[in-house]
Amino acid sequence: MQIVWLSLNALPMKLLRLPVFFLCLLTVVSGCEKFELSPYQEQPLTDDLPYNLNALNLARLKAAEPSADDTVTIIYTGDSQRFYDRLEDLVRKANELRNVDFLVLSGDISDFGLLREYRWVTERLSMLSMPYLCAIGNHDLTASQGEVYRRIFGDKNYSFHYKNYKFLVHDTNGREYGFNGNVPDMGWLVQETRDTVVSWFVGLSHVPPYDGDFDRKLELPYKNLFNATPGFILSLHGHLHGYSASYAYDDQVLYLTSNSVQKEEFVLIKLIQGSIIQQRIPY
Amino acid sequence: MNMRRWAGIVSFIALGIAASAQRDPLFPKSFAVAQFAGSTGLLSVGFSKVSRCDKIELGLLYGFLPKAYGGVNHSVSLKFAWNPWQLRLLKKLRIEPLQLGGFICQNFNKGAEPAWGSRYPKNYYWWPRATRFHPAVSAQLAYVAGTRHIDRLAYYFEANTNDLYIASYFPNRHALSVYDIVFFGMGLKLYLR
Repeated sequence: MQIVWLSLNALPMKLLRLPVFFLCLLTVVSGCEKFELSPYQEQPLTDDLPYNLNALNLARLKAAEPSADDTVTIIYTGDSQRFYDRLEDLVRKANELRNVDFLVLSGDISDFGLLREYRWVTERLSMLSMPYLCAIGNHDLTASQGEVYRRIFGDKNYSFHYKNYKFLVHDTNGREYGFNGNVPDMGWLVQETRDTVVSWFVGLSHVPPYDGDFDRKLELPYKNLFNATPGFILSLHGHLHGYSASYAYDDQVLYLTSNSVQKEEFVLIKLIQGSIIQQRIPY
Repeated sequence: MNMRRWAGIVSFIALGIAASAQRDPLFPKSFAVAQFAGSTGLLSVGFSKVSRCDKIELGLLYGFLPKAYGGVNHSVSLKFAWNPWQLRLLKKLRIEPLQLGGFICQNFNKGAEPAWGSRYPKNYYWWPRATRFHPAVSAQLAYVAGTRHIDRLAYYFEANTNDLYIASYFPNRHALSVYDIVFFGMGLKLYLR
């Protein structure tokens, strides 16, 4: 310590450069996002984060919609929360596949609902060669009531037509709302399933209806609505972090749950004239 | 860990600091601080006690993040730093090259109640909802005023991370670097005696 002090005293003028060094350091990092205002901030200081990604990806999907081919090919995964190493592997594998229409993430995009995590995830997903669409998961709602998710991806409930299918993406994270009877939004689902333009319907949401985190009061109306909708063939979920497939209610609807990104395997789903073909692909 | 208990601990220590009156032999100095960024808010203000020979700083920081910058978020932090070295540069200039410490930051915003609500079973989520634990290092450059009441004025630059970023880093050491989880803040401290 004494030696350091002496040498510093011996070279005072040279060390005047230290404050200059400080200023240089500041310049290097200034104006950039490295000055974190709060982990809970809902938008970054600089406006370089993508917004409304679901709408942008939908536009990309519709623009490339082929008229001749009516098969829909989907990469199905979920729960990317805090699995950045594996997410890079997944993106690499997905980009090797040909003729994939889009990728779906069945919720829990982030682990803690923080802006920083969405940045880490979207940076990696932006490397995908196909559009990707997200549903909201319970973890996405744990900070700022899902406001960061809403800014980056858009509405919690949205639907779209693709080829002869209608996809209903919606929020089923009942526990996050204290099982208030409004999530999933049955009114919205009823409205959306009245569509007669398409032949088939596919649901995409995070918590499956038979799980304890789904609002128990709504389980029956939910599964009954799906069963009563002609052409409702498939309901995609996440949350359980493991692949499963079952006709959970012994009706026409196949319920799938996705692997989490960590499981090093996604499912390639082909929808051909209302029939479902699944292929499990390791990465 | 129960969040109400944490809030209790923070306010208890706050009261303790407030109660420790002017001439404390263990903490003879104090400082007022204003900070930009640093993960506690857009702007934060606070007050700390400083131990003998400027070795330990312990205090509170209140931070505010306005809506226009992605809030609203309020935070109250209990902040600690160990300040082992003071090096004299010039007669009036002092550099304190490394301060090691951290802060426990309780956030208050619309989405983060201080505790997980009763709608969750016990240990449904493993992390405290809005209480973040930030390790921090800083360096500061001080102008020594040496008047009767003002000891020195310091500019500091601080790097911090938090428990959730650390938990994100370790399983992903290929995808994330240490620099990815480190964030900066800076501010001014007015040391009083």
